[in-house]
Amino acid sequence: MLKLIANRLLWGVAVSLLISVVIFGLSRAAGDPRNIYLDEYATPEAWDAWGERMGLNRPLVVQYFVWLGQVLRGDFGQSLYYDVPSIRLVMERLPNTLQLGGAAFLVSILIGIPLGIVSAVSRGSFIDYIARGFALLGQALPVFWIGLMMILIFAAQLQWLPSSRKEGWDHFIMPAIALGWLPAAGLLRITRGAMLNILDSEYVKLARAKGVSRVRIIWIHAFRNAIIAPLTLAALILAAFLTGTVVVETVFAWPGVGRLAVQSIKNNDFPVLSAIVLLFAGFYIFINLIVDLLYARIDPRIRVS
Amino acid sequence: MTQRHTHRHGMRLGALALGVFAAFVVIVGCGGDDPTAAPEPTAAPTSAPAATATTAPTEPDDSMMMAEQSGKLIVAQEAIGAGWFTSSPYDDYTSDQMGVADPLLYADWAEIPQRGSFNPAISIATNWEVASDSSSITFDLREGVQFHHGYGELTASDVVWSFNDALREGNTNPRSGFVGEYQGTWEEVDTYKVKMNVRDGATLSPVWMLEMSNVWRNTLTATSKAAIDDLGPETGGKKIGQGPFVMLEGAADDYIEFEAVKEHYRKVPAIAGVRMVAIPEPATRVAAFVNGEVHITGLSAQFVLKAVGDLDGARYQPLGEGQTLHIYMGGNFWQKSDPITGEEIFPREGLIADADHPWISDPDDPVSMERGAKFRRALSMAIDRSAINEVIGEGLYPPHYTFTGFTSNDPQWKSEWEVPFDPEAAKALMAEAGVEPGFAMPVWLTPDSGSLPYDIAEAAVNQWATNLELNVEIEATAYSARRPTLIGRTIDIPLYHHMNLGYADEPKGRLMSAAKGGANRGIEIPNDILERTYWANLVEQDSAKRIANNIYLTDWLAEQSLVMSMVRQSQLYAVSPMVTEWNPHTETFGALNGLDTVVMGR
Repeated sequence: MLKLIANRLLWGVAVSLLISVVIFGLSRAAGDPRNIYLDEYATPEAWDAWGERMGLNRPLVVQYFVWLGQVLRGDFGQSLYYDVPSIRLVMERLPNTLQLGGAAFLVSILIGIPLGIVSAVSRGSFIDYIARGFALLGQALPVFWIGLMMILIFAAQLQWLPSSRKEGWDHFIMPAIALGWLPAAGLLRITRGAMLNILDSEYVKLARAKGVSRVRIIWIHAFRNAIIAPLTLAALILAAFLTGTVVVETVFAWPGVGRLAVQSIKNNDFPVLSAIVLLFAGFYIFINLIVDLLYARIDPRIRVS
Repeated sequence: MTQRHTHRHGMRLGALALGVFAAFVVIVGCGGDDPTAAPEPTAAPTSAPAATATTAPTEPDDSMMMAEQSGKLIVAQEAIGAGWFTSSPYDDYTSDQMGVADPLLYADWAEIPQRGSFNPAISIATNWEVASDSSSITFDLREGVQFHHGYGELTASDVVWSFNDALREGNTNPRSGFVGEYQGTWEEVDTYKVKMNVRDGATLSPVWMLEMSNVWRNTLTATSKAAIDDLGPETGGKKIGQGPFVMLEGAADDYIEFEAVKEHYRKVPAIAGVRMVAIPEPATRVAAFVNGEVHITGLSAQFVLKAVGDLDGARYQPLGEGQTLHIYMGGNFWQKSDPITGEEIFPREGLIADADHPWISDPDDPVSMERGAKFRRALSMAIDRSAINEVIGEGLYPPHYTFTGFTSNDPQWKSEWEVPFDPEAAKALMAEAGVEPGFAMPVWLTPDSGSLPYDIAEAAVNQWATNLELNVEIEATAYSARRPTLIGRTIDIPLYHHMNLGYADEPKGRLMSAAKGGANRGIEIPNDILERTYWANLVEQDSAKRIANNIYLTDWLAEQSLVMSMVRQSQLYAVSPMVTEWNPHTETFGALNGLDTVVMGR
């Protein structure tokens, strides 16, 4: 088991380094950030002063290693646009993204899993078709479109909910549903498939033959075994929520990391963008590590291989 | 055994899921910090008040009296710039427009008069005197002007420190490059008197008053020297101004809270405060406006009409005189020498006057000049400006034809400046220029500039494809990536950019000159034309003569078709019926301003 953990950690470090090279390369490929911060009337002296201040006058390779050294010490540099430490910006926005991700996770779990169970138990019924339609729509409709339609209907037309921003609890409803619909659809399909497999298994048939109640069969015999696959997916969904809030946060003016990422791209603010991407990448690597370890814990074949 | 083993893991995972579930309940429950109750939409007044045009000097309000203030105005912007939160005390264009910091000169004109004079009754500077040789200006400062957050009275030392710091070499203040063209050092004469020395070798702009006022975006404002000494360079989030609103707190691209002052030399707001929020998506801003969550929001023509149409009693407010949108025929660098240093600068790298660049002319080749002018004229005649106005501008973006800002409303207007929409004549001209249908015509349209609406330029150049059968190749490169080609004069394709409308006697043409640092529009006009227009106007004190020079420049540009003007676009704001009064002043590009004049209904 320790060997497995060490192996995975080594891969995580290698992937992180690779990502750091890509991030740094792409950020510089987009052009000199001074072209954004200095307007057309800026003097050559101001140009040089900015370069000196941001370390932009050094060779690229030197800039990379200086930057990497700082990153390893937790210093992602000063935001070129906001003029504050990049990590501070990210950490200020992270709770908002975590809260939205958490709410969306709740939506996807509360809708996807129960609906998947109901759909499997009522296979071929009207409810099953409704549930599958819900899943189809969730997987087919773009998130930004869902968001804008919800704003149009529930905020502009019906005026039931606030249109955007993070202020009170009711501000969570629309963005959480917009963000949670797609993964809810995925969970529904996985849960439904797993439930159907188990409901067709020999031990469930035996339970039925023995006169075990329908409720007990569904919740004790079938659901307990079917939940493993959806929960594994749920862990990955959680990671995806934290990294996939870019569109929803922009549509709903949510002050989270996703929107900060969009602003950073627009502003060519590579220290902030680097911090965000590395944070997201690290989070993905961590979640994957946890999932791998859980698999290994559950399935001894993985430990051995 | 296996079955039980699996069940046990299932139960553990289930417990884990429950734990996660509970954690998120707590997380969500803890969310929603800083809740602000959205105002309820109210019944609209029967008629919305219009903005009041003020062109005459105005007496100050009961400036030192306590005022009853009510209502919080909520304003939605596409973004809230980082400048509000940087360490530089005057690093954001909007700090004065939002009423946090006042410039030395303040005008409340809804329209710029042809030759306006400022009203010292509402300015920090109560009087000024220009030296007979125009080498300096001495300003008398108002006594009793108080800085926010208890930093005391504004004195000459604050003004001198602030302006000198902003203008010093190496300061990254984006405004200093502009005003630094003629502003040298500032000196303290006494506690309430300062002197601005014109920079060595520079000429005092004949319209310096506008350029140092709230009407002009690039003006400087003074901050408290004591605050800088106290807070140190890290004053981010603390804009210590002396305007009618105090900045309390906020976060970049999220929100800012402003509180109205109770006493002020210029204007005591009738409202208690302003909350400015950032909502990037225009459709979301419309919904927030209709829903009553915000009272004022900036929108494009299509969205603003939708917003005010969906909310009874709402109205829209154009701000400023608007900007003009143009396609510049990049690559026509015709200037031979730097007008200041005399250095030879010709030919520029972008000047490629060959068959692949028929819009570029070589100033030393009459055939190339004639061919290029015909092709450029053809391109301009193929644009249906009225259609752009009707379809994209909803009738709010009138056709425009001049780089210099003259419109058909001006007494100087000449009918020949108007470019007729005539596709057949355009095709004939294009054929005379030797350009065949199907020619690959590149054009750079900046996709990421908030002040350059992409759809307008896209519509214009697509009309080249429709009406001239050109194979239009749109290059949608980010401005930052293309900027070096403007600064370096290497650009060799037409490009999309804007201009402020300005005023008739302003020196025009600075962006078509070699001697103005980086600023450029991909074009440099010949030295003799510049000398007769821009450089002449910099020293010409007679307004009528400056106007005449600008008319000459407009004639010359119309003949050469170097700038393809399309439409004039005012910045439009949807205004809720809750806002019963708002009298914004003119600002260069129509930015939000004058919130101290807002009155809200109860």
